[in-house]
Amino acid sequence: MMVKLAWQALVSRKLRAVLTILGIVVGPALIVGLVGATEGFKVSVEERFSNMGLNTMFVFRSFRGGGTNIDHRVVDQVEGIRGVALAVPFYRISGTIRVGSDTQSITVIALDLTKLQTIFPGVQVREGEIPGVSALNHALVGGSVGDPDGGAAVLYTVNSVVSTSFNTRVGGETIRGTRSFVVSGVMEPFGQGFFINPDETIFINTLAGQSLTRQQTFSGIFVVARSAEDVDLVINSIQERYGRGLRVFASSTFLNSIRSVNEGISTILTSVAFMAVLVAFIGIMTTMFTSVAERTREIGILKSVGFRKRHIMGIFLSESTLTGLLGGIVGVGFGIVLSYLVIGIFGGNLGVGGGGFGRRSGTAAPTLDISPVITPELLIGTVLLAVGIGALAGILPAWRASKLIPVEALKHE
Amino acid sequence: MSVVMEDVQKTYSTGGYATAALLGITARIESGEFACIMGPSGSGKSTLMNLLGALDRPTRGRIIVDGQDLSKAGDDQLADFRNKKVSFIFQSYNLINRLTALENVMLPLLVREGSKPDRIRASMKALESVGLRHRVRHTPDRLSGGEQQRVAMARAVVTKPKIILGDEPTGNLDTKTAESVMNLLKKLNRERGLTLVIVTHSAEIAKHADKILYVRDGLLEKIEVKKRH
Repeated sequence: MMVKLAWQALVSRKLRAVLTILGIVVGPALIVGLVGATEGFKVSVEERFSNMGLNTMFVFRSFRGGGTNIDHRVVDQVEGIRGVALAVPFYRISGTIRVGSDTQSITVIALDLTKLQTIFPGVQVREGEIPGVSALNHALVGGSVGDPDGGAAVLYTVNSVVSTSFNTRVGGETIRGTRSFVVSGVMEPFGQGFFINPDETIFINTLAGQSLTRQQTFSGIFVVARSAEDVDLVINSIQERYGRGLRVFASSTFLNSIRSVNEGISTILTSVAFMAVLVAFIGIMTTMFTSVAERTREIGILKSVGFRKRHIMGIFLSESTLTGLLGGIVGVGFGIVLSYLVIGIFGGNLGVGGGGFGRRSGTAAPTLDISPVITPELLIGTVLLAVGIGALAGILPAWRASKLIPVEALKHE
Repeated sequence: MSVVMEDVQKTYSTGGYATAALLGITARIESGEFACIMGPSGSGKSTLMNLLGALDRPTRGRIIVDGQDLSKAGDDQLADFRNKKVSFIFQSYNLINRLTALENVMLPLLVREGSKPDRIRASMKALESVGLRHRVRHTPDRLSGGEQQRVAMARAVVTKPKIILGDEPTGNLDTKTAESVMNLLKKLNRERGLTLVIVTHSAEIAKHADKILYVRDGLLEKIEVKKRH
């Protein structure tokens, strides 16, 4: 009945109750919406990067003058650097394949295929197998090769033939060529990559790549560190040794910068949410003071029939706590919607990277598949926070109500 | 249940000025008596009644009800006193408009032990005793003045108090309704032996009282004791 008295007080002033509750809603909605969305980004980014191998680095010759040619000597030197577990040289050739009446841009990467899954832990073979070291005419094709829209335009199966057209430069001269490979294996879709997009790549053996490019120098080296902690050490050693001759990229450095951006966003979010909560606190308190003032006579009546101080406090604390609870529940609801909106707005940009190539709808394109991370803990915690804010904001007004002298409260009009 | 007043004084201080409402009242109302407090406006008669009902504390002096010294009691004790021993009937009814008649009557029982069905049963009985059984689900704004005052009376009797204090209980009612309300009060006084203390201007009401306390300028002018009817 105490709660009923409080409830009726809320209901009897619907508009004000609704406005107060709306004032609270903002806080929980922001908390759930933004935490859910950023956690979603974080989880999917971390997942992608761990697919790419957090220990893996990419070493390229500098494009500017004075670049170091990457030959076997350099590869051996890099492999000798402390903290390096593996240095695998590779050729990278840009090419196209025909898909019906269209063409699809693909990349051919030639490397020691036995090391492929060490370099990219996320690579999985859907069908067939990775070609052996001596198989010069065989290839492992990415999940989207011949199938840019996921609509199965050309399905490569084991033992089918993939023909690629490519341009290479030999001694300042551009050579156009065509080469066919027998498909030994087809990869599972990999998702968004980093520097290379495995889904649109044809992987072949090093020697096959060498015969394609007719070059002794490699396009780059995949370097795998012994552990994630060694990555920075290896980057520093390579830069110390080769200066501007070589450039090193690590997915972990990108991940770290994304993480620090994420942390920055979280800090901003926390302060925004904190402000919203503070505003809600003040809002509830103001409403409660108004409510106490308006119901002074009622308090007098309750006191005249024998309500003790704590009974009066109970009524007003119930009212403010109920307000907080309703605000929290509604807020959490809005928050869930908000988290999907945030990901819809920002996630879309991340997803369709590098598109614009005959993509019909982009439904099964290799997008970052992000969904908000909304845990029961987040929801319950946020509602409890709103309830706590409601209760706290009610204390002072409720205490003031309980202190009223009955005869004076009764005189109040 | 007797009411004893010993040199009761009350001073209000508003804005730095002290206003004396009661300058020292000494009187006694016996258990089961029907007493009226009369006097011109501003004489302090309402203040006296509020002190008797523990709605306020005297500045000096003592009020002893049924052997309990109200001037020494704590806030919770005074609340319990108002809940168990005394009930009020006000000129302006003092009902809560967003509650139904039944809920208004139930209010004093909420802070007592007891189950909800028991509370409802007792409240229904009280409403029945004032002839309002058919109005239990109505809110006060849908009731006439006389009906509202009868809801207030039901709320007053539902606690089975020892004393009922009325502050101009018929002041807002027409003559006929006022008479029926007074008859109900007198019946309670006679049949249940309730002590009845009523502040009034009305000589018509005072006519039926056993004792009349005349208050003027914060002092007791005279006490008129009548024979019991």
